[in-house]
Amino acid sequence: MTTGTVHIVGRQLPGATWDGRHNVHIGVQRRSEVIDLVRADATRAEFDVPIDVADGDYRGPFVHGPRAQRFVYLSWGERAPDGTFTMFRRAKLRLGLMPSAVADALATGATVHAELPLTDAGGGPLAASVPPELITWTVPG
Amino acid sequence: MSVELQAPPAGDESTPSRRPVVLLLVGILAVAALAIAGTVGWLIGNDGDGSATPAESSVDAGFARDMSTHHTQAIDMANYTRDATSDKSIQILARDIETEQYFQVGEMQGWLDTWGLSRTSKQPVMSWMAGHNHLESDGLMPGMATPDEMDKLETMTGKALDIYFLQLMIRHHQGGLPMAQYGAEHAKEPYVRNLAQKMVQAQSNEIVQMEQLLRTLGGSPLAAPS
Repeated sequence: MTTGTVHIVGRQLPGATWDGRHNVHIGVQRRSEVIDLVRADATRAEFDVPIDVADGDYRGPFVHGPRAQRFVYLSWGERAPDGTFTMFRRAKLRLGLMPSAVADALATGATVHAELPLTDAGGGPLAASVPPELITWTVPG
Repeated sequence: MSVELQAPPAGDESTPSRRPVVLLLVGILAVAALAIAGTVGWLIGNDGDGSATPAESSVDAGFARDMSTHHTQAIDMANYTRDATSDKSIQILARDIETEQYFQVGEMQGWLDTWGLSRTSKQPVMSWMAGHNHLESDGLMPGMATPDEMDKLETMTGKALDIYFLQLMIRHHQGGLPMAQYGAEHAKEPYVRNLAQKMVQAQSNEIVQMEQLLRTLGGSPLAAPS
């Protein structure tokens, strides 16, 4: 097993107010906890997500979904003044959509980049499975 | 920075602080049961009477694998809904389903390890259910939500989410019931039949509970799996 890193770069954040919600943040989901919160009016949101690769499968605390449909959750929520985070929707970054050259690099333990816009067609926080054409996968260097 | 998702209220309002202890105990008991089951399985498999632990294509192994996949989706639905809903009854229900099925997946995966079988297989899905191995037209196991339905759920909030969660989970349970029933009747190992029977009972009860909640919210059930 090797552990690579997916460096996610989210651009075009939707703003911190949406559909009656305030102080909207986005984070990456580690098991059932959402971490590395970034306020949704930031210019970019970046996350480093370690991914274990073994036997062509992806695992680890950031990996969700059944085998062959593994994905990373980017979760949106409202952050209360006391710091409590209440999730209201989430997007799935499907690892199976990686081009094979990127997947091969990840499997060697490299850091690969996934860049995507975080606002959906309706101007809200991007949710559901992210269409492959929205994600730019690259191997830096 | 790390922020815990808002902690859901405990199901038993009078003893919220005891829940982690109960979960721990359940975990310990599950591990103990597994150890005993594994030892018994080993003894049976090695006493020369010709019986062995379940084989690759057995009902036991097929049940453990396919029910794990089926459960994993229910856990996913419940995990999202637990955190996104504002309805306390739905939150408690979702957390109960998530916890129950999470432990059951752990138990089933443990059996496969104990039997020396892989957790995934090239056996066709549902092939262990002789005569009942029909899949939905999209190749999914009965009652499972399509990827589009799962995606839709995870964009929803409020009452629309509560209704859609109940609709998907009722159908999911309805699809899982015949699988659990078949396992309860045809698995070789008594502990497999026992867990399958528990699933039949728990999921039957939850269907009734969810149908009531759905009526209260003014929703109607989706078509049951064929």
